[in-house]
Amino acid sequence: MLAGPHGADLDVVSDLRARILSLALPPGAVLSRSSLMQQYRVSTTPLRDAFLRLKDEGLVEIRAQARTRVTLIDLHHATQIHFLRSSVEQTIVEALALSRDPALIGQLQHMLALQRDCLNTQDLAGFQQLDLAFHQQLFAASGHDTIYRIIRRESGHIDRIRALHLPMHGKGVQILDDHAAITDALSRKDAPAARAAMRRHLSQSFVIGDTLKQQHPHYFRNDG
Amino acid sequence: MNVLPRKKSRASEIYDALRTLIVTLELPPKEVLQEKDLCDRFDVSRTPLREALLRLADHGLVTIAPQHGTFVSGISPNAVRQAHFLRVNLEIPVVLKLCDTPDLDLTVPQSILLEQKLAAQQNSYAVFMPLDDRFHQSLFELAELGSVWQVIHAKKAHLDRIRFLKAAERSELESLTRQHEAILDAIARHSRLGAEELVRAHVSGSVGFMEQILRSRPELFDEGGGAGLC
Repeated sequence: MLAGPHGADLDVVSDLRARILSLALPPGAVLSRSSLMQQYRVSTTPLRDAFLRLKDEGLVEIRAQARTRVTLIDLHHATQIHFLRSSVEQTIVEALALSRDPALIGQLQHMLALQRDCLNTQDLAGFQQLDLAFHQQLFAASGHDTIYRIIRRESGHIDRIRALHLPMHGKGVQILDDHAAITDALSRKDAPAARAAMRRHLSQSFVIGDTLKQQHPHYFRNDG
Repeated sequence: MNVLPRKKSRASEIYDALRTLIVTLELPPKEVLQEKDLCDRFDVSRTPLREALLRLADHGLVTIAPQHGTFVSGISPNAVRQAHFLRVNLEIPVVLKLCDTPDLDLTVPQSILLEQKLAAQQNSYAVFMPLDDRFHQSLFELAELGSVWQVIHAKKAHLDRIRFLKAAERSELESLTRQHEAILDAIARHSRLGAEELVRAHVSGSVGFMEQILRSRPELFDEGGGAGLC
């Protein structure tokens, strides 16, 4: 088993995180220490450290004298992190357009082709994986992997909103078109077009938040 | 808004206190941290102290080495550059958003600015630097982006050590105060172009300064580029 740098068991952390983000453990769910200790075959301390880490990521809340729960989705927080991400990614594609990197264009086009295959075969998991990989590639190519990790870490509420958002074919087509427009602007070294394409791409996904909150009120914080 | 007013946990208080000691270089890079001494100093048990240290380690401020104990991390140039990148790319859109907001109430940043003028006159940079953060935080909050500030703040401790070193330079505090004043003025006049240039110049000073002290005081830095932010 993989040991974390400070005692937290990374397998436990990443498994719990994945279950929370996929809504297998839905917002508000109670986490029973005893059954998790049994399930993961760990003692109190590594489980506690795992909880602390997930608490730091905003995914669980630990109350003294009370149960540990999965946090409710905070739409307000999600909107703000989305703003952060959008601001940073617009700058990144603008900078990449000015420093055209032929290898990068090739990689992005390859990802686009794979993503199109996933859409055609209705491979949703693969599609989402490539969606993340496309953006990660842009951060990596501009030397900002660390910022990618920061944003991913803060994206727990965003990811859960996305998981609630039923997969729709039209949405996938839109994402592919957007990614193609970004790649195209980069290959033409057109910095303003790259920035505009990224802004358009990232402005699509957030309109839906309020509607989802009305459909699943018990999953959302009320003050968000 | 999104943060419920609730009492800070003991671990959060220790985290904040240690962060301040590290950022002001009262606990300098490479300083060894003994759990027992810290428990005595803060009058706490090991559990909240450990939680605070784990979070500091998570944010790259302390290094917990199983065989060598716990010590304050050296300043990581990469962490400084990444935090600066985040700051400049968020402070500018925040200020632009404020330029576009009609009837903005600037009372809070104005009152912080006034406190800064007092601290600058007394050349008290231990008082000044937290006010500097509060000034920027108040702008994010006016733009309804307080959580974004929290993310940046949690990641900018390496940059803050550079800012603190720079604040000791002659007339730096007056210069920072004048820049804050100019930024507020540009927001009040809805001057987007002016505001953007002012903010860019304002937050960029620290990175240039770091390149100087990387040469003059290498002992403060992490050898080999180090841990980064995460």
